[in-house]
Amino acid sequence: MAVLPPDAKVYSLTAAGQRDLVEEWSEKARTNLAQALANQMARPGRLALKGFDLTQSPAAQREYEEARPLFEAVALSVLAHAYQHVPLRYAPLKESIIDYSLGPLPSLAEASAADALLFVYASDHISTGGRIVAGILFTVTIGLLTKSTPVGGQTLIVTALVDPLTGDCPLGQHAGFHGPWRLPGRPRYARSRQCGAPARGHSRRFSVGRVYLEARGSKLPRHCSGRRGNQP
Amino acid sequence: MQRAKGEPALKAYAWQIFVVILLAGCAPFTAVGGKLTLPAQGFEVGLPEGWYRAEDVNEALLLTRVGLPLQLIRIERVSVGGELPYIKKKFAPDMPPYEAGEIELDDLRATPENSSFELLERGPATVSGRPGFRLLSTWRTREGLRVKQLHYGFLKGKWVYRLIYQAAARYYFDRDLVTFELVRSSFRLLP
Repeated sequence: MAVLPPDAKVYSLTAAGQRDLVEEWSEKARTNLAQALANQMARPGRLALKGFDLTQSPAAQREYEEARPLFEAVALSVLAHAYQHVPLRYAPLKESIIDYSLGPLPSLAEASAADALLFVYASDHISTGGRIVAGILFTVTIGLLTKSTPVGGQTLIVTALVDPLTGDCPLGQHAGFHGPWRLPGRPRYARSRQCGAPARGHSRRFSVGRVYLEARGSKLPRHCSGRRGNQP
Repeated sequence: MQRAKGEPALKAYAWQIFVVILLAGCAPFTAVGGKLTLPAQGFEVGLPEGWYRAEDVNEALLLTRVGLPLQLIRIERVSVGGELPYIKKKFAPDMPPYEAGEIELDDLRATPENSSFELLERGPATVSGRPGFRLLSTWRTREGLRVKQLHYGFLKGKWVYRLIYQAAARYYFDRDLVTFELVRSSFRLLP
């Protein structure tokens, strides 16, 4: 399994709710994620992880630059669709499996010589001082009456195994789920442990967990949600 | 507290996932199919099976299959006298389709969130038996995603009609283009 350079975006959240991408923080987050992945790769285990240098193949580099933002869009779409009903009912997530793809990635397949590509997308929202103050004021006034708290910055990590030949990817997300990792028609890679458990004692943090590849052509959940991204 | 496997863990951060959806700009969606008549919009159209309609969008018919960041179909009509958001120009009721397409194109090109805009094709088209225009363009979003958009439009009376298909240029645009063309061919103006 080849590990692609992680994509990370860190935003500053203002009191007015506006979010601004902070490139310096994002770069630091990418570095930290890459280091964490490298540490994971160094550990012996049943998953054979390896990094590869994209700069050695301009074609693979170009392909990655196209696939990376598409993976971000896929990740957000999967979240919106697959988890639409989670707050209301926990239908088995297999019912929410949807067919998503990045399209064939022949250059990455050739350059990596791997059975699967691991994409990582992370985003974080860090409240500014003004937002924190606004949150405190909200909590001590309206919040105490309504027993609600303002929404803080959200942290999100989405990982997906992608078949480089087809580009097929997140077909279901298994947050906090113990299950096998495998690609369609391919041998099982490993059994995952706890996937994406929220950081204990820190309610704002969670990770969505690993993306699981199994079914193809499954139907969408009845209701879906999405971001109105760059709408005409 | 000891948690059981599976569901409880999911339950523990279900609300957080919900918040992510809200942050992403959520819209409740319902499955569609068959013919849909929208008297307020003045048209009827056949909807593709397996697609979903954004319920909280009133000014247009907005559809997607796997998520708005990846693909959408948007059908709407806007007033001829309304200003376009970025170039601040207006249509004229007797404007030829080519000129109407020019205005739409200029506004799209002026959208600040879009970069690397490129017009791929441009020409006349017929929608519901009326002469109109067709624009095929591509650009990069703020997130770096290259999208492609196919835009059909025409004027009738005091309205400008738009039939837009937009999707990630990679993989998704080609995959669902046929579906959009079927939707377009089913489009009819109400008498």
